[in-house]
Amino acid sequence: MNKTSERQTDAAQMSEFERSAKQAFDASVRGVDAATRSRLVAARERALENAGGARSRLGWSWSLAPSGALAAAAIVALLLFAPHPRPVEVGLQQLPSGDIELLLGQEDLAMLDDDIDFYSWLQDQPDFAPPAANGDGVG
Amino acid sequence: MGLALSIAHDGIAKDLAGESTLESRHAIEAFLREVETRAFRIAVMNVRDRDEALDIVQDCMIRLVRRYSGRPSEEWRPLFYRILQNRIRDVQRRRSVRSRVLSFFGGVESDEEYDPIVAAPGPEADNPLDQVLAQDAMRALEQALLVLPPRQREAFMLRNFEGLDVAQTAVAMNCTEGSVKTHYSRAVHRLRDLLREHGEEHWYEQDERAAD
Repeated sequence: MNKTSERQTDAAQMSEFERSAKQAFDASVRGVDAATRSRLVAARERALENAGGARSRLGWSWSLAPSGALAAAAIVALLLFAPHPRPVEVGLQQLPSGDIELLLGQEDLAMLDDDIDFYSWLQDQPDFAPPAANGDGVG
Repeated sequence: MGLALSIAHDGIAKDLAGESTLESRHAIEAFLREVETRAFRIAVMNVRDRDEALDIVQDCMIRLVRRYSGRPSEEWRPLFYRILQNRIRDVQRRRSVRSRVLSFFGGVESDEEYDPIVAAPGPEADNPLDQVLAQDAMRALEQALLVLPPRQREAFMLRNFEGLDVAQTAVAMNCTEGSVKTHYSRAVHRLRDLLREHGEEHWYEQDERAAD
């Protein structure tokens, strides 16, 4: 079954309540004011401009690869030869229960790490110094 | 001769690459134009803050273009909504941590009340009476949606408001199709009950008409 006919089947199987909910939502979308619409258009333009930016940033990051490798080697050497301090043990029971829930939640926590790259890149955007390289790839 | 041919060939390849870039830019632009206002409404309903909702939608658009514009266009919708749901959850999570920290230090965070400006109609709205009725109905539905567990709310918004099919919703929610069906079905029943409990005539009258 193709997508269009699947959608038609979905629509046919909707109850009156579901149909009304969809109509109410559609009406609320039509009611979004002009100022917001224009801010959304500006946001879209910005997103599209950034598509080219991503490619040029990749080229810039490759040019820094040798110095990056050197820095990584220096850090590894430091870790191998520096004296190790005794690790501080923090028990789970010392954390507030809400934070434990947050940490163990089923949500996609990788997204938070992901966001750190993304926000640091975004922060750099309009007035930028050359942005830092990150591992942005498709996937 | 060989060199000339090679240069000519490179030129054609560049032209073709340029055309295809332009085509894909137009395609993704059309997609974003189609989803941006709807995504904004969904974000407002979840985070109850207009500016934060705009930021979320902008982040989603940037992220989709930067990371996934090379993917087949039929994948954009579920990917876009997956990014949206993640960003909404992220904002809610940060907000909850912030409010815990504030309450720990004795600070008070303002209640997030219903914002009439957010719900105010735009120029494309329907006639005034219909507008008022539709706004009241939507307001009641929004309040009921906030009572639902987050996964049920997500399933309802994606399936019902956005018209994603079960498979697309599963991608957007990062779960199985079976879970989508369960979440959605529970959401519909719970919403119907909530609106009935609160005496929202617009909603239960429709059910009664359908039953007749």
